Amino acid sequence: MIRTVAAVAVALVVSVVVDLATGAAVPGRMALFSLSAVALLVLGGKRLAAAGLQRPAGTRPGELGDPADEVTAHG
Amino acid sequence: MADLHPALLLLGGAIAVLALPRRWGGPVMVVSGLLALAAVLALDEGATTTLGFYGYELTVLRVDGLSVPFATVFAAITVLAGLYGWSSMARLERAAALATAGAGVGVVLAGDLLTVFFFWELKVTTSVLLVFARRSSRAAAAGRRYLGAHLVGGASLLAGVLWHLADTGSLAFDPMDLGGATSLILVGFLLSAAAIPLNAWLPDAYPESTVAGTVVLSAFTTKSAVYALARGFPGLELLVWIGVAMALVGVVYAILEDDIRRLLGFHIVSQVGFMVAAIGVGTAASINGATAHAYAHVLYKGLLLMGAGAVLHATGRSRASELGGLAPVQRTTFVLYLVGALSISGLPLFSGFPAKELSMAAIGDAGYGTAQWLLKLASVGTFLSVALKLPAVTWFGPARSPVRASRLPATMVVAMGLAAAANIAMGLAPDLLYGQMPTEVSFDPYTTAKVVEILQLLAFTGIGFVLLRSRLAPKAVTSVDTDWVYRELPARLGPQLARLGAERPRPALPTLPSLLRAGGAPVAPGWVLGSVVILAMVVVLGASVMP
Repeated sequence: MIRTVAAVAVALVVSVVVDLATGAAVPGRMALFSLSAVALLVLGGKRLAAAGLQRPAGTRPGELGDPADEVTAHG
Repeated sequence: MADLHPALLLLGGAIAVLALPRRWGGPVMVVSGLLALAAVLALDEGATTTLGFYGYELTVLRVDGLSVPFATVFAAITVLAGLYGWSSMARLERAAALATAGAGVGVVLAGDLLTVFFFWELKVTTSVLLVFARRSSRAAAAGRRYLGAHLVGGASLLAGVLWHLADTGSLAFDPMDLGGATSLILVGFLLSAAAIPLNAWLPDAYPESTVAGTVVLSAFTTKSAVYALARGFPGLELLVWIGVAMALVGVVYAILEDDIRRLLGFHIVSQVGFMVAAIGVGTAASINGATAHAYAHVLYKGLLLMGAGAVLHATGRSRASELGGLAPVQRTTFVLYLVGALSISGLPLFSGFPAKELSMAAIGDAGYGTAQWLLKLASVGTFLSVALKLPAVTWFGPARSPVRASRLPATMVVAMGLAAAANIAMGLAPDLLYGQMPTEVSFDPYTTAKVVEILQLLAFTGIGFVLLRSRLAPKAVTSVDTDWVYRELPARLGPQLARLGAERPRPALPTLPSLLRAGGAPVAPGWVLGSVVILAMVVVLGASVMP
């Protein structure tokens, strides 16, 4: 856990240094934005899935299993 | 050559495929696509062909800066799809693919709304056969839902066209102001673009088609609609926010999805959202951006679906929860898929970078900063799901079920290789793409700031993926989209209505052979067109009696 946090911190520092070197308006902005975006999309998506956006496979109308699916997938 | 309509070559190819022995089908499709490509490139800018029709002058061919890039990439993907499906496509499936391509080219080269409607419905009628071509009960059910959705869209389009004609006396397909009639036209276009909340038909039907059929479907239906929106409604601000919603909703579903081909289907919704948003901005730069994005998208999404289709073709499976560990036996497929994945993610040196940067910069420059950041959020999700999650669960990690991968036909690999080469070429030399845009492009994507920004976005998305990878482990789940309204709500309202959304027994399926045996193939288009006309008449009559 500590090594992971340290690795992410180093990556953020490198990002800030690169931004400073290239004259970006807000150093570290894209790095923090991207990390936050991943957390939002994955954790938020999982929460939505649990709230009803997803169900076990084969439980929706029109989703009945069909052996022909396996057979004809190749054509 | 200048006056030869390229769509005729593709439609002629469709007829030839039906008439000739099956072994000629592959060559006929590829040659038809090449001839159509040559015909498009030979068209003179500004050329038109008109046709008299019951007192109206229809412009069946209009060549300008917006129509040519769409027609060019449509012809190119026909060649690639023909190669990809060389040994797997059935005769009627291949004919349907060529007819769909011809209809798509017809839409983008049409100069009036009635011609657009004709080719639009031809596209629906032939493309649904690509869904039925899988010959499974799931494909048949999804195909019926696809047809039902597009029937509503077609009716809305025709009603709008007729109402517009009554109001203005004009059938010209040019930028339109939003009003009663044009709202109906807009709904018809948006449904075909899979705009939220009219999007559920796409991830429902596309993954149920055959491996080559999905490639064809992904190229023509939504991109024809993108063209139609760019032609008819540039600068309509509503589209900016519809596009942003599409980009975000599509990507959230994609992150959660288990079926790799459905995942890519949700990504079509997301990527088309970028294009719709750029069209809503409406500047010359943003229309160039939307066009460039559509052009590149046809090629990289085609490649991605070819890669996922190759997995299905080789293993018979497309659920991530049943895949894994395929890299040792599918190295080439993985590498070629990765080219598509890096292209869609907008990595420099791949086609998506110059295309996306052009449209994103145009959106930001027009003052839509919030929309631009929300689209960057969607870009994070794109890289996360298409370039990280999908390869990780398909080609790496443990095999989740006993799967034996069979060898792929050489033509499949060649088609993927050509698509990959095109994506790399446009990434290395953006002028190959920019040189085909509607107006002159003086945009340089390869500045230090832009390259550093996208590299940081992708690198930290990768870090986030590593940190949260366990949350993305595949599970055998299915997503509930807005199709809940017609697939599940009826069951809650009553047993009679429940039949609307329920699975039907197999004998009722309109499979291709049964259609042919029963003489149904000619009947089906008539049924579709008749239903659309009747529905449109109801709408027009309803509108005419309103105060």
